[in-house]
Amino acid sequence: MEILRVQNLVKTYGKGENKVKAVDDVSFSVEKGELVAIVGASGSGKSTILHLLGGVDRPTSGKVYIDGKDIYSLSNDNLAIFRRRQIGIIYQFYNLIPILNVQENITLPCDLDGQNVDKERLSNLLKTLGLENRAMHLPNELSGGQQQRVSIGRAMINNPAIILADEPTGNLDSKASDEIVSLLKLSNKKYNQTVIIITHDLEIARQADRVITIEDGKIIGDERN
Amino acid sequence: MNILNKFTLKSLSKNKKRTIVTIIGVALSTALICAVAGMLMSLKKTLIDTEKQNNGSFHIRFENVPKEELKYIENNQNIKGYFYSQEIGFSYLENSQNENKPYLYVLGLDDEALANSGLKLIEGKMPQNENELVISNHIITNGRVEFKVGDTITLDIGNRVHNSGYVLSKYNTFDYGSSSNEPNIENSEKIIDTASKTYTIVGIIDRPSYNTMEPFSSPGYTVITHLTREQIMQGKNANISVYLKDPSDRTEMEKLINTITDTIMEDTKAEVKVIKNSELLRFEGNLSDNSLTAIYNIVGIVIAIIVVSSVFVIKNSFNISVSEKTKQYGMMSSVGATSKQIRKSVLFEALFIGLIGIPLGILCGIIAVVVLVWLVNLLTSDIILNDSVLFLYGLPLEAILITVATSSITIFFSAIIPAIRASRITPIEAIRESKDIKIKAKKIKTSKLTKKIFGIGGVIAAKNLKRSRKKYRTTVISLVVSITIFIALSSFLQDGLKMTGYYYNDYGYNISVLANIDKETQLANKEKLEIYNEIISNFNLTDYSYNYERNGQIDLEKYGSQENKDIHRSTTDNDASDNLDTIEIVKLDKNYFSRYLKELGVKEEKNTAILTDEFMYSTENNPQRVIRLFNIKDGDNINIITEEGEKNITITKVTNKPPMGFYSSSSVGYIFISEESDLISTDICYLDRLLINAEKPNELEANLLDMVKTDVKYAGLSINNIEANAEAEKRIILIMSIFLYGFIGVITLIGVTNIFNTITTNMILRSKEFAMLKSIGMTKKEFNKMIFLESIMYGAKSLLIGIPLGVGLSYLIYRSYAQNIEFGFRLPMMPILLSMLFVFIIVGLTMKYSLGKINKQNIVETIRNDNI
Ligand SMILES: Nc1ncnc2c1ncn2[C@@H]1O[C@H](COP(=O)(O)OP(=O)(O)OP(=O)(O)O)[C@@H](O)[C@H]1O
Ligand SMILES: [Mg+2]
Repeated sequence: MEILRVQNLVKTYGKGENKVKAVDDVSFSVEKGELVAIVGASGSGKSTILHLLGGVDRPTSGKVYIDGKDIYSLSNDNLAIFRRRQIGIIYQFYNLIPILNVQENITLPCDLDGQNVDKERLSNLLKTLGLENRAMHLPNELSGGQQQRVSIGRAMINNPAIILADEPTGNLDSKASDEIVSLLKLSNKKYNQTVIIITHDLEIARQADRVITIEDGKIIGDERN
Repeated sequence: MNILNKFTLKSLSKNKKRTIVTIIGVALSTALICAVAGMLMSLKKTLIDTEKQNNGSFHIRFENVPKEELKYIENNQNIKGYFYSQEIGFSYLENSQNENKPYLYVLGLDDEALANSGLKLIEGKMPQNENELVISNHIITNGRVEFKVGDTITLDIGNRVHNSGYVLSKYNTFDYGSSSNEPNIENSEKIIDTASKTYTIVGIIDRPSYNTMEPFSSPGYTVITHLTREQIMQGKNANISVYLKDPSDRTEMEKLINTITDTIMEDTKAEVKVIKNSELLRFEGNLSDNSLTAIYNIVGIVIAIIVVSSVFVIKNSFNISVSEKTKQYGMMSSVGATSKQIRKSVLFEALFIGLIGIPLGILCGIIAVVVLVWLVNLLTSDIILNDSVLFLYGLPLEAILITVATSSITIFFSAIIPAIRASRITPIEAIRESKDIKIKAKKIKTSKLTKKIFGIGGVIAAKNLKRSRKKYRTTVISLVVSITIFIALSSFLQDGLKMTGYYYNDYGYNISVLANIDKETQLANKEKLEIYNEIISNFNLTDYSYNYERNGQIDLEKYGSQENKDIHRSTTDNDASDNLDTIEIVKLDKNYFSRYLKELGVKEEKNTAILTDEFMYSTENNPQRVIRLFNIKDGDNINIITEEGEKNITITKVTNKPPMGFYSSSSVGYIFISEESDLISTDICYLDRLLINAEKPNELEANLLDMVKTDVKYAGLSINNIEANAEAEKRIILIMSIFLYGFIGVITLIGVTNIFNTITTNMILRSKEFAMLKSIGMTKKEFNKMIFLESIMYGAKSLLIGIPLGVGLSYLIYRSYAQNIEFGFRLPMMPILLSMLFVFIIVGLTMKYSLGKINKQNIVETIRNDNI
């Protein structure tokens, strides 16, 4: 089943001489349950594509369908609501809310949605993430790897259609980074979760079902392992 | 609780100090609004109470109502309360010296009426039964009939009728309708149907209100006895005074009056007289020419100023709070918070701040009103001699409601723009900002000179100011507002003080007494002198003077100075006949004249004459200067034309030191001679005031006033206590200073909360940068120097803008009253210096505070904190 479809996506910055085509007419689609890695040189447009997939930026032209829905046809507010229910984003610098504790950071999308948090699901998730003893801690009391696990938890809490991760291990040592990757793989295998992950680490890319290579905003390779 | 609200509360408690400072800002602005509204209400209450004391505590009185008709009034639903009075009648007042007031007018009042008719007891007590009477002191001072408390009088009381048979009331003047100039009781009107009644005088009251009880033109002096309601019901027609439920509703009131008068007219053909207590009604908002309108307008403007400057400042607090959370709002948005949710969370922050700040502010405001009212009463109690109403507290619910509404609006407007800004933050902006702060290199370019003079610390300081220009703009504007208001209002107050000092300093006397005697000059002089001499001997006065004045004419062409001729040409129609200038001839009493000559060092001879003719002269183009009116020297022989013909006078000395009571700013020349001089005869001169330089002027004034009240002979005396007047004016200026400086103080404090918030947050936001600077080896000293330079730079900027604005504003204020005063505009140096001092203290303290915090910070901790 197709969960994500990208059609002729273009994103340009600046005007005239300064014009930069960060994403240049990109089209592809992803099946449900796939683990996709996006690789490419620095400045090639990976993050930009990911932001466009996650509905946090707006494309210059082109369309993104998630679960059959043209997400950029939504109003800003409806897009926000769509994000909290259907998309989980993980950033390189964790981007947690420093004054909320681990549990509150994880349940943020539910709370925003006004849903009641499923206690069992939360405790399972905390256990899976290895954070069961850290639920009441503030982010600055955690190590980098732990913080990244919190942001994975936040991405997974609502069982989204798709998880997007932008260099989730870029800031971590190899041990912590292995943990993160195995978590993402676990969610992919166990819950049949679709995951798209940007990485510089070829070792991580090798573990994916599929590797998309970007250069100058264009797809130059799309291979299945 | 909603997660966003929880987040808001957590951020607020994390930034405890800033939250508290913001709440203080809100509380101060609320307190200021509350205090202004409260003072307005107090003023209103005071005015209303004064009116009640002077004119009576009722709104309308229906006079001459047939008793069976009273029920229509008593039962009217718009009426809250009522009391009765009744006309008993007129009686002749034997020996009345006022030809237009030959009667006593006897009025009966019930208990409530006695308490609520604005009567002021001077002596004795109020009447308690129908045989007791209080009289108005006007009978003594104006009618010059001597009555004392305890006297018994028998009056033949009856109706006053015109010869044509028409019944006259107290509203008809005496000798109503007569064409004759010589009023003649026998000819025009008389009192008939008299009944004899004996009263005991138990008290003396002030003359009753001319608005509501005894019109100036009334032919009788009011005397009042007590009647019970039952007694009134047995008598003739009654007067009923009513208190309305809603006195501000004018149309309703007119309707009420018309219904009642029409009904009574229909029923009984009786014509009811309606008296409105219009002064009271005016202050209760009934009349269109509401005297409070002007004050309401001023208060409106003041509140608008407070609201505008508060919005400006409080908005900045919310802006800071939002900018600090930009990244977090972006994160919220990226995990799916809608813009509405984010907007709401900022407004929730406003709600929280308001819920604490507004009640706190109202509390402070109420305390401020209580203290201010107390202070005003303290400062005025000993200068207000009469039994006027003290300034009253008046802070009813409506003032508090106005404050709550205004402050809520203030906070709402302060928060709404930051809220919208927060809701517009897109996740992508937040994510990108975390990676790199977007600064345009050109914008923060600094000159090489800065580097040379101040070193790298100076460069970073200047770059920082340019980078966060917008943040500092608010700080600079806050400072500018405070500086401007401070300078302008201070110089206004200083001028005010100077003005009162100018007018009252150099009189040489502190009490003046003038006997008003309405007779031909020679006779009047004799009687006046008699009174003056009595006062002088009664109180053992030594330092006093009195004088006789008469004006003469002097040849302008021959004696006048050039400036005097210019003045004449510009003020008169330039007739050939007008070649004469007025000169005043003053005969000083002989004792004082000798003393005066001694002061001048002139030997006294029989016809010694002193000339003063200095004058403060200014034209449109020329600043003020002192000129002389005449070209006359010591020993000159001059001719003066008087009523008794042309006189030749030798001027012994020309001086610029006039005697007591004369001052050099009048445009007339004076020749001072002795009472005993025979240059002109005293009989054609007018005997002016008795001027006294008393040791205890207030005591003397009180004694003199006592004499006026109790002794008919002194009834026409007018007494002026110069010192008390000057003192009163000084006190008023002092009260104004307290109000204005209080106002400036609080406005400035509101500004200071803003400055504090801006500077400290900026320091904290830059803590990573500071940590980095330190980590690459900037010493503490260099670091402090950098911060110090930064403070100097924007402190100086605020002063550079604020001082010219303040001086400009004070010049404008000066211009608006410059016509009336005789000194030039001076740069308000003192306020300028004070504001400079103030700015650097404020800026320095805040800087020191945040530096202390930063220096305590651990470098590693700081860098790590900024990473999450
Ligand atoms: N706000 C912006 N304004 C102008 N250019 C931008 C902006 N954001 C990104 N770009 C440009 O778009 C291009 C793609 O950027 P992007 O962040 O997607 O690269 P990336 O592949 O994620 O690189 P990296 O691996 O270093 O993270 C870059 O050349 C960048 O300079
Ligand atoms: Mg990137």
